[in-house]
Order: sequence, then C-alpha cells, then structure tokens
Amino acid sequence: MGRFILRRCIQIVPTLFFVLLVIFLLMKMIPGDPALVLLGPEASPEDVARFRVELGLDRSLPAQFASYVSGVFRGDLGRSLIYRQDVLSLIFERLPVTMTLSVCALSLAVLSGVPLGIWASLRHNRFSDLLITTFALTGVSVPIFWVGMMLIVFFVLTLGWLPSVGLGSWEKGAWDVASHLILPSFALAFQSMGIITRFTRSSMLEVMRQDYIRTARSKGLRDRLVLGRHALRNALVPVVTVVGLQLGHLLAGAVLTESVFALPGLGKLMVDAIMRRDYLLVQGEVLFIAVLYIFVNLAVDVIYAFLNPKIRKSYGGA
Amino acid sequence: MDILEVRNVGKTFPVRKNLFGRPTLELHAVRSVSFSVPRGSVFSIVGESGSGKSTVANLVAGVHRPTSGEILLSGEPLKESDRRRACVQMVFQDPESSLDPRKTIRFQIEEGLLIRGMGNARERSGRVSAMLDLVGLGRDLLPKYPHELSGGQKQRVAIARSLILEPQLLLLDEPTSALDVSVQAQILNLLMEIRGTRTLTYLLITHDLKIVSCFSDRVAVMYLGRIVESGTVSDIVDSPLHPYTRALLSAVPDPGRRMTSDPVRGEIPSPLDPPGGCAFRTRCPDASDVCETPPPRVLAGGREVSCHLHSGRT
Repeated sequence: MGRFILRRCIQIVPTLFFVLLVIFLLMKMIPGDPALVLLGPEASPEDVARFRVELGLDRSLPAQFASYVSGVFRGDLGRSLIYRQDVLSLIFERLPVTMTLSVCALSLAVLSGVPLGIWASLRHNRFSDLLITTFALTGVSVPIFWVGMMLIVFFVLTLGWLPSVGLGSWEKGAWDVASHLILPSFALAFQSMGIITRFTRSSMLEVMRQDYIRTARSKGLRDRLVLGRHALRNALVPVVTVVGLQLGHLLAGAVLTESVFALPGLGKLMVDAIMRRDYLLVQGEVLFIAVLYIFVNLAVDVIYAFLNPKIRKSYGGA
Repeated sequence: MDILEVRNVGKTFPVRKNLFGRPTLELHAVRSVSFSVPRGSVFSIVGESGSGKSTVANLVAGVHRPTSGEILLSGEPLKESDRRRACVQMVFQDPESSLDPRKTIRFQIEEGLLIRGMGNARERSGRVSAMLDLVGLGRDLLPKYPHELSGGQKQRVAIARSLILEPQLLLLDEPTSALDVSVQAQILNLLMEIRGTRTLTYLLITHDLKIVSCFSDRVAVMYLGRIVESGTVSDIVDSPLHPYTRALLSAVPDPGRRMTSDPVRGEIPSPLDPPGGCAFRTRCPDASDVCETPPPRVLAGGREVSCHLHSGRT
C-alpha cells in the first residue's frame, strides 16, 4: 500500500508540470497586452515599455515560464491588480466559503444519491425506480444557475422561508449561517446527486446480477444481509470514485452557484477577476483549483485502492 | 423415490408492460416441462442457448417461481421459503462471478455454516479444510481473494462451498463451459469422484453432448422451452429419434469425420415468437405440413419424444 501511494505521488510531478505549462500558455494566448490593459489606452509607449520590463514581459517565453514556475514553488502567485493584495492570501481568504459550500453540497449529494440509487435498484423497473431515475436525470440535465434561480423564486420570493443571498453571520446565530447555505448547497448538489444516484443504481444492478448474490441466497443468507454483506460492498467501490470526482465538479459548479447567490467564495472571486481582467488572479486561481483537483484525485485513488483487494494485494499488502 | 420431480412446469417472463403493470408481451421461457430425477443419478438437460435449460435450473433452485405446474423435492412441493434450503445447491457457469471478489476464500466456503450457526470455530474450520481436501485444493488458498486464483481453482472453490452444506441435489449450470479444455476434464473428474464418496444427485445443464455422454444417466433435450426428447444416455446418443437431437449429435465435432453440411439450418427462432405447431419445424429437415399442428408426446420403452415422425411408434 505504501508503495502504491508513493508511486501515485511521483506520478503527480509530470501532471503538475503539464498543468503549469498549460495555464502559462493559456494566459499568453489571451489577446491584448496586459501592460496596455493595466495602464489604460492613454498610456504613453514609454510607460508601457517600462511596465513590460517591470512585469518581465520583454523576456523570452521559456525565461518567463521558468520565473513563473520558480515563483509558484516559492508560493508566490503574484499580486492581484484590482485587490492590491497577494493572490495566494486572497485565495485562502475566500477558500473557507467555497469549501463549506462544496462539503455541504457533496454530503447532501452522497446522503441522498446513494440511498436513492440503492432504492431504485431494488425496485428495478417498478414505479419508484422510474420516479427516482427521472428525478436523477432532471438533476443531471438542468443547469445549476437555473436551479439556483428557481429555488430563489420559490423559497425566497414566493414562500419567504429562506434568505436569498450572501453569507449568514455567526453573530446572528447558527441558523442564520445554515439558512444562507441551504439553497446554494442544494442547487450545487442537485447535479452530483443525479450522477451519484444513476451510478449507484447501475452499479447495484450489475452486482445483483452476479452469481455470488444467488450463491449467498442459496447459502441461506437473508435478503438484508445479502445486500449489506455482499452487494453493497461490491457495488459501492466504483461509486467512491465518482463521488471523489464530483468534488472537482463541485468546485467548478461553485463558480456559478456563488455568482447566483452572491457568496464571497473562490468562484465569485474568479468571475470578478475574469470580468476585470485581473490576469494574475485568474492564473493563480486556475492553478490553485487544478492542484486541488489533482490532490482530490490522488485521495480518491488511494481510497479506491484501499477498498479494492485486487489493487491492495498487488502492491504487497497494507 | 425420486429426489426431484418436475410436473408440467411453465415459466413466462413479462418483457413489456403497459402503464398499469400488465404484461403486454411475454416470453415463454419454459413450457410444460416434466421430468423426474432418481436419487443418486445424474440427469442432464441439453439445448442451445435460449432453449430454457437455465430457467429450469433456476426454477428448481427456487430463484424463480414457476408460472404453472409444480416442482416436488423428495416428494414435497417446493415453497417460497424453500429458496434457502441447504439440500439444493448450485454451481454456476462463470467461476468469476460466482465468488464475491471482496471476500476471502475461507469466508466464502465457511459462510453457509456461519449463516446456519453450525458448529464452533474449530469445527467449521475443520469442515472447510476437509472440503478443500475433497476438491483438491491446498489450505494456503484460504486467506486469498478470488482474483488470485485460476479459473479451475475458483470452480473448485465454488464446488467446495456448495458441498459444505451437505446438499442432496447439486445443480450444475454449465459448470465447465467457461474453463479451458484441460481444466474441464479435471473438474468433471472431480465431480465424478465426489459422487462416488457420497449420495449426491446431479442436475447438469449443458450444451455439450460430449460431457453428457460420459457423465450422465438420463438426458432431456430442450428446444424453445420444451423437452423434445428424453431418455437414457445410450438411447439418446446411439439412437436419437427427434430430428433436433440428431442434428445436435451430428454437430459434435469428430476429428475422424469431415463435417458434411450444416447440421441445423439457421438460427434458433426468437422465443418471443416461436413457430406454431412443432417449434422445430422451421429448421427441421423432415418437416411436412402435419408439423404445423402440435406434435404428439410419444412414450416408448422408457423414453419420450415429441415429434410427428414417431406418432405411429407407441
């Protein structure tokens, strides 16, 4: 197991390098001179040239890339031009909001998706199965911002049960914080819930067809134990992977959700940065999210390996 | 007494349902099948895929409930609660899927005893070891997982785990067709040896007539959900009566003989829409107009055939 983790960690290095390269080149491909954008159209050519030297834009591409990479490894993602603040510290300032939102949404998605998927598989081709799969398909198909707006229309404007936008504050009590999180979490969770439901259902159906399920029944095991001891354990292994990958999707979905609900998280920061052409902030955030995604994937792989005796054993036991 | 008696058993599966859950299209997997298996014998059911032979095995195992007819086990009708009887156990075709990939070999063999609360840990462990000896596997396999075993080893484990509950009837659903030819022989020999040491009845489901001829006492040939011919192995193999049986037998490859022509014309018709009258008439070399009416069941000298060709032979 240790060897497996080590190997996976080493595999991260080229991925990371590639991510850095892609982000760097993408930023270079954006039309327009950053110096010109920053200084405005009235800047004199001399000012622009001086500013370009200051930003290092006059050097060759490989040299720029090298200094970018070395900066990243020193934890220097540059300074945001609109916030006049270090990019990394800005990210860490906003991260808790996004993390809370993502974790709430993921918990919601897993806690509803997995049971719904199991239930649908047990009622295969019955009415409740149809109902659940339709619900899940709706979740997969409907865009997040639309769900968010509908939720606001219904629960905030029509019923007036929940506050619509912004963060709650702890001074007003835990309910204030929670009530501000309910709608965005649900809007963000809906899609993942649909995906997890569908995946759990098909994985369960697949496993329930296996002969070892029939065998377990013929051994005299009661249905509930057949489910718990043989079916679920096998069916949920691939679900773990999907759940892990959803965390990445949730980070992307957070961009939309935070915009709709005006939550000051990473997503909102990103949208603002893009709108106002804060190149270094966009670049830093994309890198941060990519790295986060890589490590989530690593964690998923390790958990998957731990759950799967095939992989566990082939790397020399735990 | 017969350990297993199947009386006029039929099974239909709904294929399509309307809005109210009423079936609008049904698949007759098994139609009015009857046979009986004497205790301690080997009874085989042969047929192509889609002939309904595995459905018969599932009905006997209690996985499905028959739509019509009844199944008697040692003279007692099969009940819903009998699905968990220890006295009928199954060995499946694919050893890959018949073992839980996330459980050790020891647990899989022992589980049947655990469920029934049989013996203490030491007794159970002793019986597991005895079963491993019986199927010719070493005890070093016990802590392993299925993926570490070969196909033949897995099938031995499947046999060991089915025998640990001391069943009287073992259902073998294509037990060798997923294995290499050399391993097939080993497994068949093992099954024969085991039968020598205890009173055990085999119901063998297969498409392989070679296995049947060296392994079985009686045979039933199925086509599109019906038994078209049944009798002792020597009857069926040496003097087949039904054209379908003849075709099946001539389809067995023989190195000394060149295949003359296609033994059976065309594909098996869809069981959703089987031909009326004799189901085999669309592929039968001897078909005539009379075959559009249902064939008679002709009983003669311990064997049974349903074919118009033999209607005069009672």
